[in-house]
Amino acid sequence: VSAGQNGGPPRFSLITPLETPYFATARMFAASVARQFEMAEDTIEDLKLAVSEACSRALATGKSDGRLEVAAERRGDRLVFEVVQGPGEGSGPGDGDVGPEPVPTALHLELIAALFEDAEAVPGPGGAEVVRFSAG
Amino acid sequence: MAQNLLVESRERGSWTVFDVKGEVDLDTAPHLKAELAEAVKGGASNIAVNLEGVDFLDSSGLGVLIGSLKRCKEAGGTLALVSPRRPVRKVLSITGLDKVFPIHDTVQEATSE
Repeated sequence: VSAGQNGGPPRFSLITPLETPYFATARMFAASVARQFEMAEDTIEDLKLAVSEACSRALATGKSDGRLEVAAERRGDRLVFEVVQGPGEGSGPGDGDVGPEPVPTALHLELIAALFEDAEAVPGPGGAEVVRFSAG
Repeated sequence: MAQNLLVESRERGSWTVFDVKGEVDLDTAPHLKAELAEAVKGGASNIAVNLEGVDFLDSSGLGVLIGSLKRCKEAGGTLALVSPRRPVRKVLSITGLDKVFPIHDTVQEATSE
């Protein structure tokens, strides 16, 4: 947990390597934060799916040796989540579609948007990508 | 690594039933894919995937199920889903795949077709 910028709300964040074994941890972290804010269990299930999709997208588009940050911050009556594809030292972007039966990267975001309508993917620090959505 | 996923198979008539327990995501989906693909390669064409024990499934898991359904159909059979829990039902519904897969409440129901 870190203090918010300019006295803003605290930011809860988890940083892991951008590797699939950490995706379950990322989901558990997001669910734990949501429970702290007394979100409904149905919303928490949606949140876990959204975070998992964002992690998969980050792996598909991120640097091979990058890191992953899952963060949450209270804004008004909403909890804003960000899945940040952190910078890596790798030479280029990921291989695109990943997985045993590759899923197009756009589909990950479409699924998130089906759950949280304000979902967006925006440029982040160092050319990385941030997937952001809010739950209430 | 597939520590969060347990896949066991059994025969039931002309069907091969897979009992899946745990979470299916990008990390564990390759394990499920390997088990299903091996069954089809070994001659199974009618497969029932029992999802009663699956707490979580994302698009990686859906991809595996779709690919496996395709392989079963190519072999003249099908792939049915059994007893998906509410979160899994939701992702099937959002993606419209609840209309693609036969979905049953019990293994008995799925394998009696």
